[in-house]
Amino acid sequence: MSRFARGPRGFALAETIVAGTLLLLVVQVAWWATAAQSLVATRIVAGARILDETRLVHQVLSTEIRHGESGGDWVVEGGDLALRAFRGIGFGCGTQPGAGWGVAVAGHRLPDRDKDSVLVLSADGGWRPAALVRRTRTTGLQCQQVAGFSAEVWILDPPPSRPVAALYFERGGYRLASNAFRYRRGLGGWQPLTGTGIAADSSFLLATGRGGLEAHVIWEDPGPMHPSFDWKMWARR
Amino acid sequence: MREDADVRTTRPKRPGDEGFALVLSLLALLVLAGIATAAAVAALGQLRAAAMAGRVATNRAAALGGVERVLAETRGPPKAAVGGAAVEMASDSLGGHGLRRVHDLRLDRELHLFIGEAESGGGAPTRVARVIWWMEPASRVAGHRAVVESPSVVAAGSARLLADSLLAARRGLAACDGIPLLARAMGGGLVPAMGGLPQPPEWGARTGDPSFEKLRLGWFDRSTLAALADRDLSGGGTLAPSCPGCWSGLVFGTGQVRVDGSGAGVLAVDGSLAFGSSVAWTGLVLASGDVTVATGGRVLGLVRAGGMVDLADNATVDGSACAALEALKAAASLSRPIPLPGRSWIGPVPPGAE
Repeated sequence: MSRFARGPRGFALAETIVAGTLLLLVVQVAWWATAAQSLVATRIVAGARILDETRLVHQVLSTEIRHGESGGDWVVEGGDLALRAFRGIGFGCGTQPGAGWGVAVAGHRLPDRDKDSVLVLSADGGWRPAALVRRTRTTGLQCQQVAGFSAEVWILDPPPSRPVAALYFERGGYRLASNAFRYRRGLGGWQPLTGTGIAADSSFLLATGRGGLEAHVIWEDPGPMHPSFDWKMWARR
Repeated sequence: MREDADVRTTRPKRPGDEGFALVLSLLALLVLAGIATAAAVAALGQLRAAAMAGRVATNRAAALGGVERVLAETRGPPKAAVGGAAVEMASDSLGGHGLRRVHDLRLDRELHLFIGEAESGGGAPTRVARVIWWMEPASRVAGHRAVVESPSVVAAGSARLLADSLLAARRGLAACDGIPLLARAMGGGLVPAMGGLPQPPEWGARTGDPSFEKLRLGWFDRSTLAALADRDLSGGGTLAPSCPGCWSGLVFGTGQVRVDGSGAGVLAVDGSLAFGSSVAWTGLVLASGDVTVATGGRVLGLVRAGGMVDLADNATVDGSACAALEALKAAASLSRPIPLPGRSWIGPVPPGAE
């Protein structure tokens, strides 16, 4: 009888215990590694989402107040930013129609008389608001050719005196409330622009001196980075 | 017997005995790989977003910088015509693989729209627009509604205030009746010898722009006029032009300014202005306070004063739109685009598809 034939019988229990212990160890280490990596990955993903959404808040707010003037175009009341949300511009065409104002228009979207009003620049250098009563696309006017601009005829109320250029805008508002950054058009409902997770009690928008806007955004889930973001923005003059 | 033992020892393992640890390890690796992939995708997304934000910021800064550069470097009258095609003001490459351009759209005689655009490699083109005021001498002159605009004019018995040859040629000055804008505004005795001060934006300030309260020339306010002056008499002083027949450009002063020699040009004074005896001045006179013309003094051009205009014996103000026009043309420092005060950057202007 060989040595190999007898050997395994005597060590079966010990081998089982050692094997079980080793297996337990391996499983535990693997579990720990998996859990740790899962935690890290979750934090990275959560942090990425926080960065994305904070970047969104920053981009939206800075873009919205960039072309406005504090007090006239936007104001912070009770933590809400109420503003003229500019959506595009127009300039007067070289030839004008018999009625209305021929204007070349470009913007993030086309003007909408149901939503938009107009701020008109006159030849005297003054900006005056007017209601957009009607707009029609036209091809019969000679407008300076600028890529992206299309010709329209606007009927405004009151009719502008010597109009030169215009901005069209909708009334809107932004707020940090109910765990999200929200926007509303006119007096409509507040729609979330971000996912939830903003600590609305500690986050705020604030008008600062000299026409600036300060944003303070705190996230509930801290993630791998500091959960608090502060920045100031100013309109471009 | 030995054969039996060998057979037992080397018998093939049953399927369950082949080692599920390997399977477990592979499963664990799969889970770990999945988690790592999720993290890598998130990190990659951040990288892409950061790169895009960088490109957007670069293009935006380039477009804004292009407009600012054109404003800083452009001198002389505009090339664009009202309602005409856009004129390219600048075009340069961005780092060898991008392009930056600025176009001028002339919207009105003195109002322009500068459109700056930039695109560097990788997309995210950006456009910005700014409303610009660019002085046109004829428009400035056409804004005068009288030879002397002032709240009060006091003239001695032998003083003369003339408004009958506003557009006519004078010695050394060509006629300007061929300029349609001036012919419409000033031809045929439309402009009287005396009149009150015009309303903003010709003169004075609207609510919200106090820098124009005392002195202005179009949308040049007091501080801009001081910065652009060819001759600065801030704090007051005496001007004695070295060359009576030469254009002095823009002369700016504050306090009490006295002119003791004959000359020509644009006189802009935040304070009071006095012309000495027998001094002749050709051009445009703007003062926030009183203007005094001593005995035998002569102003050929147009006068606008926030205070009283006092003409002594034999003093003459000979109304000439052409003299004022030539003075403005000769003041080269004024022939430049500036941003319209107040709201000048307008938008949003989406990138246009060429």
